[in-house]
Amino acid sequence: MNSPASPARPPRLASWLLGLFLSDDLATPIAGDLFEEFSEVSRLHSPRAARRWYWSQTLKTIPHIMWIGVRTAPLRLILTTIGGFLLLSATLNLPEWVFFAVVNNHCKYFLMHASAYRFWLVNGIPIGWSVVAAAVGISIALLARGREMIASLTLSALVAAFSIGTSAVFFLSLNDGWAITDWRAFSFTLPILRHGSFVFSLPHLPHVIFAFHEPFFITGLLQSVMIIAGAVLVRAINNFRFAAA
Amino acid sequence: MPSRENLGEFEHLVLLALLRLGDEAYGVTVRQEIAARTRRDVSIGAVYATLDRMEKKGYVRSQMGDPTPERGGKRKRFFRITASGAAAVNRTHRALKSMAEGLRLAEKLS
Repeated sequence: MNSPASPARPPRLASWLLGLFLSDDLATPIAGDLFEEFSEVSRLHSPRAARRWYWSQTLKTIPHIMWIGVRTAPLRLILTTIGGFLLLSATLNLPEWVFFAVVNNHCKYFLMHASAYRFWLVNGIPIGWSVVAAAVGISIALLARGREMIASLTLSALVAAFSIGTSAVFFLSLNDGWAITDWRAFSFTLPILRHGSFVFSLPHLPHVIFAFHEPFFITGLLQSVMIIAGAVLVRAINNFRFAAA
Repeated sequence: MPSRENLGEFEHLVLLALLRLGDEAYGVTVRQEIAARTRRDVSIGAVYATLDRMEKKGYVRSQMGDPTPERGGKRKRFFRITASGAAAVNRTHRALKSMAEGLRLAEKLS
């Protein structure tokens, strides 16, 4: 005997994604409305059509939810974004300081293990930047309570724009025959130009030598992603606690 | 204090849907009413964004209902139009009527 088919469930990923953006007061009615219509579409058409409908509604709904968040608390959003940007600028050298403090305290070890030094220099500092960016994402998510994703996406877009802009200035400056040597004023990713796996020299400016490991805008984009990841973590924990309550 | 401005097109549609639906106006019914009568694919987010904005203007008020199993145990949020919301609908109707008065739209648009 066949067992009765279990009722279709909305796509988990879409529900989770929507839950990241919904504030507590909108979460219950909107999630309930979507669930109700999903069941109706599933019954009248098919579970597959219902899943498609649910995804389409989710993707169309998120921009509106974000706009509600922006419209209802623009000042908090601006202050959170600026605060996050300043916090990121202030703490981004932290991994470098930590790395060199460890190297200074364990000179003997690193003198005997040059490959370990090189590994941590090339990989440890970018990992440290990612951790710092995630911590900033967590901080601004806690400050922008209810608007975690909007604040983190705004800050993330700002950091990405800075990184891409800095890269553009850098490459354009090569063609013009001049180079800005103090990247600290323009980019979050200066240390990549100073430490890395190979040396790049400019033929027309032989006294300027840049050492870098990878295009620095990639690190900037990684930081953007990590800011969002930090905020997603906060939001996911909040949603879990809200569902448990 | 309620605004004296005319309603935007979608705001107008949402308030008319509330008037039609009476006590049964919540996200799903409002969305379906507009979709059925205007043949527009409306997202639930657009409906809530508009209702939220109009609640801030004092045109709408809302209250939570009871949780029901067909909604996965989640409660409905019912909406009702207020007196100033109804006045805004009337004002917008009058403005549209006044603008269209004396025009032979079929001729103008052909």
